[in-house]
Amino acid sequence: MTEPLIKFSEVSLGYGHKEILSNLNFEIYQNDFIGIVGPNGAGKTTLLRAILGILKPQKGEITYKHLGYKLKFGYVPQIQTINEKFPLTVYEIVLMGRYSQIGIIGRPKRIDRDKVYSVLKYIDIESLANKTYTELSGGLRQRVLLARALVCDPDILVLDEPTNNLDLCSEKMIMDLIKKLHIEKNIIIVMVSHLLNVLINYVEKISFINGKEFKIYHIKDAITEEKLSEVYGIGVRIGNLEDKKIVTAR
Amino acid sequence: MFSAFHIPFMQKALIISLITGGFLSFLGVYIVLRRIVFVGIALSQITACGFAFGFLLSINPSICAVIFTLIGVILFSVRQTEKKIPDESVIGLAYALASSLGILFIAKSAQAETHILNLLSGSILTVTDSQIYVALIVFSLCGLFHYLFYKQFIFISFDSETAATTGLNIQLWNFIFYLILGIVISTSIKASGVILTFGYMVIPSIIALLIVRNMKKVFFISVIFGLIATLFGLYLSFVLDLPSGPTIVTILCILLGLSLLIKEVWTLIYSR
Repeated sequence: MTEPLIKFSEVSLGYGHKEILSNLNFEIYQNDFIGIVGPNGAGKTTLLRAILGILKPQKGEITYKHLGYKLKFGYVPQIQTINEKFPLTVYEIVLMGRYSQIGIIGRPKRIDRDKVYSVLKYIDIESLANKTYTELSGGLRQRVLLARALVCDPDILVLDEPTNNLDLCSEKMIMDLIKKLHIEKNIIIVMVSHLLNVLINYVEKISFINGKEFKIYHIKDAITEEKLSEVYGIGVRIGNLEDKKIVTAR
Repeated sequence: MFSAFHIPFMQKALIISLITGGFLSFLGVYIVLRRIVFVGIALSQITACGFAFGFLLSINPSICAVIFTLIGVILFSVRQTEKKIPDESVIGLAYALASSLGILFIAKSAQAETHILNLLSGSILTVTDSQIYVALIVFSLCGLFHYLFYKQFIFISFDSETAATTGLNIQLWNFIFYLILGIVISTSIKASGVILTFGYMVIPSIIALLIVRNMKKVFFISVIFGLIATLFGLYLSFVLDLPSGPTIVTILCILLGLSLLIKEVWTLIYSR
């Protein structure tokens, strides 16, 4: 097996003196498409913050492989954390993803503007460039945040509940887009969600945050009635609808 | 109208009001959008408390005000890792404490009472040349800072979580944001007073957000309304012999009411 891009060794995470997750041992590899499932408040966002390097571990070590440059992350936060009162245009928001390249007092150059428009075109929202974020629907807002995460050409795309509060159509549109990015652009995907039925039909690896051992499974090993019953502590049934899997409680 | 501004003390009042009004109206856009309006009023009260403390101990009130403001800035900009007290409670607590201490300091100070009354309603008409120069230098530097670091201030205000992932130190930039706010408040409060300073921080930006839906235009319109209200407010206060600060705030509120009315009518016409 190749060397992992990110490795967690005996990591404990939390805020102040409060420990939220402990004894985390896992690796993230090139080409991974990982889904992390867990109920609200289980520590999913905390784990993502540690992967992104903005939360230092209380114990243990997180190591990042150097690819000749520092690993580049694209981050899509939970949509509720955005201050949507700011009347910013789609273009202005996506440009934020280029700020670290533009420099501390630099102004956007032609290369930055071109990059923004090429990503908007790829995500198919080029026509919305001058619209304000507040004018958009939930699904389109999520696409704007995805575009912003992509504009820095990330190696890893980290998404926090990207389908939260979306209607069925927008949910499918966003998940299809994430899968397309993984396949076409070879981007590693790490996403958390509390929606098991959404994740299992897209991701290749899955992990559960439930206060027990944190382990990343291949999807075929994890999505069994026996395993899910053990994880959730209740009887679980797995059904098939056309080519999709559906998990229900017994 | 312009004959009123031929008088030297009115000219000075106009200059200081335009400088403070313009810049506070600009900063107000962030204050309203970041929903930290009460940080503004609490910082104003902390600054006033600092002045009162200076009068009590007969040491330079302006220096005391700056030190007190700095303490307030640190208090509001540092994020608690474990939130034992919610942020809005900290702001309320700081406001209550600063107001109470301010009154206690005044009660025990022989000369503070008249000065403190000026701090509330302002003393724009007695502003000195040196106050104008200080305001000009301070506000130019703060303005330059906001121009140079517009990207950082917008990013941390719009989405601090993602801003942190791009390497921005959120604590540091929040501190700088509040520091500039504190400096501006402590500079303007002596001339404009608590009421007008707070009015400039809130009302022009609300008007601008009602009228336009584009970030840069919101900043521009907010400043324009701050300046228009200053001009008319000062003129009216001179003609009708009214205190200037409250007159400007009243004009701003009338402009806000008019903007609301026009927007409602506009919506009614175009929704048909």
